[in-house]
Amino acid sequence: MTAVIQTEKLTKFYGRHRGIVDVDLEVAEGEAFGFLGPNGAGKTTMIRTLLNHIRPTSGRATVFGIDTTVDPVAIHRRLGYLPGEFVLYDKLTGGQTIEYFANLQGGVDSAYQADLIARLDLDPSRKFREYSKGNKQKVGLVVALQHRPELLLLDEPTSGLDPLVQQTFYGVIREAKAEGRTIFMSSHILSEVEKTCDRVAIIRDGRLAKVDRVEALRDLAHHQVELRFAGPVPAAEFEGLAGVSDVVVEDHTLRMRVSGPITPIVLAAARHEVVDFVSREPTLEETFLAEYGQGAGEVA
Amino acid sequence: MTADIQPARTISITTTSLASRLYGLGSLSAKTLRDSRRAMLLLGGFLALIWLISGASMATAFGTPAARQEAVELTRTLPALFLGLYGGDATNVDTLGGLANWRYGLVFFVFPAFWSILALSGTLVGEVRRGSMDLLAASGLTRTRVALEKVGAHVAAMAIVMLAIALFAWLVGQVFYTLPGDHIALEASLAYALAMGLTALAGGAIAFALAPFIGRGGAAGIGAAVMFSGWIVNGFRDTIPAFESLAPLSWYTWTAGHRPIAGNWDWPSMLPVAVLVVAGIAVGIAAFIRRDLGDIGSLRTPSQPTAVLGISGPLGRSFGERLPDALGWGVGLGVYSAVVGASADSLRESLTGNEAIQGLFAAAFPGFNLNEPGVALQLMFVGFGMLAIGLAAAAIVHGWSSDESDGRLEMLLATPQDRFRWMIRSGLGVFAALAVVTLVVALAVALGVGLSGENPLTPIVGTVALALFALAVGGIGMAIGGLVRPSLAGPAAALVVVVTFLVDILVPALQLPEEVRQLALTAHFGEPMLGTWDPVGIVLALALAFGGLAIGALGFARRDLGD
Repeated sequence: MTAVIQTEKLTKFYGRHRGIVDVDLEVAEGEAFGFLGPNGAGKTTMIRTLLNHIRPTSGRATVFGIDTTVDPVAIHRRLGYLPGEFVLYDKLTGGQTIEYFANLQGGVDSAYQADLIARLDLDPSRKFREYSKGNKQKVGLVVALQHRPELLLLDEPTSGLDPLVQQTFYGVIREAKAEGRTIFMSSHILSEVEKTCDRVAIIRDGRLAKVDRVEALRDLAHHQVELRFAGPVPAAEFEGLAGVSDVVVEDHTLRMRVSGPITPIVLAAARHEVVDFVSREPTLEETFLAEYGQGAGEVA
Repeated sequence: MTADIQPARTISITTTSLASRLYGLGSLSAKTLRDSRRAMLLLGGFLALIWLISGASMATAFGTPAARQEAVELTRTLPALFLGLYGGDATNVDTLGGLANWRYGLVFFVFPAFWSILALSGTLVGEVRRGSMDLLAASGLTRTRVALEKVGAHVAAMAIVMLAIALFAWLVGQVFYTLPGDHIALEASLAYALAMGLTALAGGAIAFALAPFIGRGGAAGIGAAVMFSGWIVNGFRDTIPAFESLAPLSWYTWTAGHRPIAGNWDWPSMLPVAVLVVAGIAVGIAAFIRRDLGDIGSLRTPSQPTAVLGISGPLGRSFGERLPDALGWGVGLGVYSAVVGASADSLRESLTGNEAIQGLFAAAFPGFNLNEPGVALQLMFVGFGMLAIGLAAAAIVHGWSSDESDGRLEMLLATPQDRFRWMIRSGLGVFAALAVVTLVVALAVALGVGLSGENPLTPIVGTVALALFALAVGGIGMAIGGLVRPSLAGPAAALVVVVTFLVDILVPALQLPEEVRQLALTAHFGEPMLGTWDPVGIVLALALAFGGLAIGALGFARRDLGD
């Protein structure tokens, strides 16, 4: 399958500050690709380099086989972009903003544009400055999607959207994927990536730590369990249980990481007076970082 | 696996030094004062420079008793229009303090007021708009305390600048003393600075009181309009009968008798100004406390017609976005140009009615044809007009650069827009907006000159010189913004304008060589309101405008996006 995005030793430094370092990545045509990493890891730098908004310090990136620094306009003609944070024209309404971007794209299918506005439940008659964060995000999504681009670059696309609109967004993304379009999105939400992506990359300290298929996530699934006891913490009883690791005691609270079934923990806890029991599924990022966080791993 | 038992942590509380509570990040007022440091330095530096010019020109151009007498005669025989612009009364101009007060009264009283209006209109509302007030108001400080600390910091900043200027004025009096009366007593300079600061705060207090109800822009606009029209009404109260009844509303009229550096004292006149300042601030604070946080009204203005919003492409969008500002600058400058344009007759009568003045005038402006309809505009408008339209260009370029510095280009340039072409097109939109400013001024000139019964054609064409200067300033700003970074575009353009203005006033005041004045672009336009043009200025301005835009576009196409 043809690679839509390809980077070779892609590196960007802002003066002495690190952006991304030696990133080798390939995203195939029609693939939905998740890009994960903590704040400041280099996610936005990566996306902005692909757009040629910033120029690589070394290495190279191609999109649709075109070097990003050689003909960015040809690339932009075929992509849709939603930044993590963006500002648009306060004096224009949402509808006028969408129309302006449609003009800059050289025209769009007005029926599809109207359909997107309706599905995202956006009131296009209000001034952009009057919108809430979520509604501004909707305008950004329509702008990114309305010209049916072959590649979608989405930075935290569901940030600020309510759950219902998030579902609509996932639907739109699924349709785009079904139509063979490529999606490259950064996210912090496990369920979002599970619903939309085929593969996931983890970036940490500017370097690619891991690239794997989403199915691999499920094998890594674990829980963060926190027990608060009325009396002293019987830590030893839990340390020996299968799948338990990273046990930490603080006052009357016991924290641990549990891989596999949680039943043995519940049974052991039942033998004591437990004031509180919290079991939390970690984020995808935590899962990956816990597994691959110690230095850069191999890239699949 | 063994359990990790964590020991109880010791708690250490951060402490704040007294110094950082006064200036820095130790308190809300300290941070506000810190945020004002650039404005304080700029205003203080500018006023200090004016004092230096006053002292130097007094010592050089008016160093003898005979020269001082000539200055006195000049102020007595000058048309009322001139006196009005300078603030009206010319008292004790044969002394350093008197001359400085008369010649630079506009600068001393209006510039600090503009600063106060800009600062106080946004000190609370600006934080609310940014969203940072939500955090501040939830930080344990009462709203009253937040408001008092913010306003108090501005009052302190104004006091610091005024104190520094008072000391500098006193020093200038010591250094440039040439004749008896030139010494400025410390008491007088302090009292004068207090008057400057308090009247400046009056405009700021009005803007502060209005800001919660009509937003920052509207409040600043109304505050500035009230303040500046008060200055004009006071200055022209003896010239224009209609202003006579309005003059008692102006705090400049209330305090006209209190000019300590010119030897006039009237402390009681400061009391109503102080009351106005306190009342304005109290209203603003009460509104801030009583209204919901984030509930900021806005001044209802007509919506921009869709046809001129410019959503078809970058050129139209750039023009559409700048159009309201361009119209605002044009109307403001146009009102002034219309008044001056209408006064050609009275100026001519004043100048030709006195042989001594006619002689002085002929010596100062050889070859000046007093019968030209644009004579008043050339004498009294072009210099100020260049400054004003230059600042308009800087403000409009600053707005243009916000497309990048605010992040709009992040999405815009992800569309199939070539960066070089985008900058050329949006830059042409800026030039079109500057053309609108000039067009409005030209219409106002036509109205003013037409009302005086003269043919306005030559002065209308003369306004093209303003456009040329504005385009050049815009080109320089966009070159810097494109080559270096967007946030420098507006300040760089403003710096060019201010330096040009200073060269224009410093050269005659300090009797510097004419070659120095030739460094200013404004020296190369001829006398456009009289129909005399210098092609050098035209070519130079166009080269700076379009060359600057092209250079900026080349630089922009090669650097990273973002500030």
